[in-house]
Amino acid sequence: MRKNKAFTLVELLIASAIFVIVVLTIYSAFYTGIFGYGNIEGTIAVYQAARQILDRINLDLRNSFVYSNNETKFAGSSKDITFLALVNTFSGDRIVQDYALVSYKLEADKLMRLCRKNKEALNDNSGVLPEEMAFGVEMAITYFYIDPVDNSLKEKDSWNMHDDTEERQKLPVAIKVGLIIKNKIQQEFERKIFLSLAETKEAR
Amino acid sequence: MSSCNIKNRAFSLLELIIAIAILSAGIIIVLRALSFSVRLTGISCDMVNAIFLAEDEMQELEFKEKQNLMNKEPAQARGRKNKFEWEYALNLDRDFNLYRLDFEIKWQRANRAESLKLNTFLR
Repeated sequence: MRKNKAFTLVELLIASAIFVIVVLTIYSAFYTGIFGYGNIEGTIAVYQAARQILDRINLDLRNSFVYSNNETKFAGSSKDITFLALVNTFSGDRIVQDYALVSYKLEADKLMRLCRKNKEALNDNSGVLPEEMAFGVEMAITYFYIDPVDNSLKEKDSWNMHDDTEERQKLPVAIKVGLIIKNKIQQEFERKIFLSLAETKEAR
Repeated sequence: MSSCNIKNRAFSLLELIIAIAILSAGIIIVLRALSFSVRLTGISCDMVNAIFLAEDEMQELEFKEKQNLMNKEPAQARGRKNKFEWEYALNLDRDFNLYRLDFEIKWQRANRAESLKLNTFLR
C-alpha cells in the first residue's frame, strides 16, 4: 500500500552520503578559514613586533648625541647597544624631551630596552629595570665608520667605550640592525640606520 | 503522480539544484574574501619591508648630502635587496633649493607584480 511505504535502505544510504558530502564541504571551508586566520595572525604579530622594535631603535638612534668632547658614551656589541639619546615623555598633556641613557640588550631570546631618564641617566645604581619588548628574537648589530684611508664606509661588530681608541670620541656613522623574529612563522628583517649627529665632515 | 495533491509535494530536483547553487555561491564568496584578505596581508607585510628599505636609502642620501657628496647634479641609482628591486631619481629643485627624490620599489608576490612609489624632498 502506498500510504505505509517507508524509506528503503538504499534511499537512506544515498541521503546520508549526500548529507556527509555537504557537511564535509562546509567543514573544510571553515577549517581553511580558521587555519588561514591563524596564519595571518602569526604573520601580523611578527611584522608588528619587528616594526615596533625597529622604529623604536631608529627613533632612539636618530636622537642619540655625544656626551662630551672626549667621551661619547656610546658602546655596543653585536647583541647589545647603549647610548645617550633624547626621548619624548608625556608630562601632563604635553610632550617634553628628556635626555636618557637608552640600552637594548638581548637576554636569551628576549629583547630588553632600558631607558634611564634625567638624573638617573649616568647613575648605574639607579634601580631602573629594563622592559621586555619582544621575545623569540635574534639580533645582530654592526657598526659603520668612515675609514680615514679611503673615505669609505667600513663595518665592525662592536663599538668600545672604554678603549683608549678614537672610538670613544666618535659616534658610529651608521648602525645595521638585523632581526630574526620567531613566532608561528620566522621572518628576517634588516635596517641600516644613519645617525643624524655623527660627524662626517672630517672625513673629507 | 496525478494522485499527489499539493500538500504532499516534495522538493523537485530543480529546486534542490537551485538551493545547492545558492549555498555554494555563499561559501565561495566567503572563501574568496578570505583568500583576498590573505593576499592583502601579504602585500602589507611586504610593504613594511619595502618602506624599511626606502627609509634606509633616504637616510643614506641624507648622509651623503651631509658629506657634501652630492653635486647638485641629477642622480639615479638602482639596486636589489632580497626580492625588492628599487630605483630612485634625485633632481635638484631650483626654486626651493631642495632635492626631489622619487623612489620606486617593485617586487613579485605570488606571481603578481606589486610596486610602491614614494616622493619626498631632501634638504
